[in-house]
Amino acid sequence: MTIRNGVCATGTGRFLASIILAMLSAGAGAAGTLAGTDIANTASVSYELDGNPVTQDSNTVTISVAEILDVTVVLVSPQQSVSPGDTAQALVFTVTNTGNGQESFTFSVDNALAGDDFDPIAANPNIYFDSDASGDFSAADTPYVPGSGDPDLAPDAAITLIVVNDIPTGLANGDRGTSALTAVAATGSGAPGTLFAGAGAGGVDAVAGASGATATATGEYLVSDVALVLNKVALVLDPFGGDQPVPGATIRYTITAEVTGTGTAVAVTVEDQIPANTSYVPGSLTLNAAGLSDAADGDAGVYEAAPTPLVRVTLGDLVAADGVQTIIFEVLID
Amino acid sequence: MNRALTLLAAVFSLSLAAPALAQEGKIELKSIVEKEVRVVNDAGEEVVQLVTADKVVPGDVVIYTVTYTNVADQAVDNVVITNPINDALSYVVDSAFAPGADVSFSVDGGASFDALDALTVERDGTAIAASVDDLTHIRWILREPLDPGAQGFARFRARLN
Repeated sequence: MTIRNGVCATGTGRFLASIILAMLSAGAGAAGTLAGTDIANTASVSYELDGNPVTQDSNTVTISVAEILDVTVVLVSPQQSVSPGDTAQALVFTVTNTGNGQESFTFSVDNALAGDDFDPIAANPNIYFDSDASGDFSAADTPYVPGSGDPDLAPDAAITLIVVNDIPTGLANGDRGTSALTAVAATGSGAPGTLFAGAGAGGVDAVAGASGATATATGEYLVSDVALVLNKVALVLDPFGGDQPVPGATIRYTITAEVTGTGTAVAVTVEDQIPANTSYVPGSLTLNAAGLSDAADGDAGVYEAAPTPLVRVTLGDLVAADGVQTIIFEVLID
Repeated sequence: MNRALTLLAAVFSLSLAAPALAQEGKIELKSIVEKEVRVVNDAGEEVVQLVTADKVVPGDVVIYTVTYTNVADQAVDNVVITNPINDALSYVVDSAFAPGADVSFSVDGGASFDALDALTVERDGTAIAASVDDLTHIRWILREPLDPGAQGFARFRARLN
């Protein structure tokens, strides 16, 4: 037996050498097989002895799936334009349990980061759950309490957290301040592969994954003098080829919107009421020469007949580099 | 011999020394499962070792090895070794290996076997080529009768989903 095994081991060793070079480890995709799963394997052999069929099983080998501790933190909100002295400025983050076991996470904020111009001042409390799932900081959001309030996340589950800071006074236009949210697996963190024996979900071993069981994302505040400049001109086209505002004449309104200064004008919407004694010309609304449908649908524009007739164009987040946005629509004099 | 190889040899003899749980019979059949780990040896090179797969995490590659020995005093014919592939595992393509044996696969719980690229599964009423995730069993058929005292092995690799 010993000799035969020795022969077998040699052959195995050679085979090993050949596969080592070809081997590449691939990372797991989603959370994967749940921690605590046991995978049993029993081989079987069938053969004929003196013409009689025989079947036998091997021993059973079992592997148990350990808990891999992994987490991601992603900044959701864009750069926040602020003014010196502003309070309760929010940054929104998403934390996802990318491990394969139920895991609690603890959170902390670092405002003393290098590479920026100022340190935001942590509000108290400074981390909130997005309790109303609004995606922004609102009155219904409840504060995170470290230790007792650590959220327990199922594999692949995500949670939205809001970091709230005040902005110091005495800052110059263009100054940047950063604030980082860090999530750490409650079981433990460390270099990938660090073992936490018996500490995982359901008492299985836990192993720090590729993230080291901790992740950080950084948001940024920009002191900004961003301004939105709106301009509106009217051009009258009468039915006789002239420019007299008579009944039946068309008035073409051209509205321009332009952002100046540094920073981002967030969620810009332009709304203009249809003047009394005029009627909106259906289908006349355009943005930067592209037609917009009157219906409230996927495009940026809408015409609302009630309660007050108006046109509305959603321009979204604008910076100076976006240039002039031109909105045109027409009304008919009744 | 560097330390990595020494360790590998030690691990191997350890697994061989484990109590033989194989059922009584004319063929002694033994299954082991190992996994690949990467370590840096004394020379600073990254090498891969096989260690007992007592704990694994998603993405890990494990290697199942079935060793067979004819412990009878006569040859046995038509030796067929079958190993299930657990749902949580994905067979690593081209990893099945067994000297002197032909390999085939099943997608129907071991009822029928064929070459991997000949297997199909039904998706929404349409037969499509089977993927490694569809495999339920792997089978090796020895080409020759197994003489008394002769032994061999069959192995494959699989990745934990």
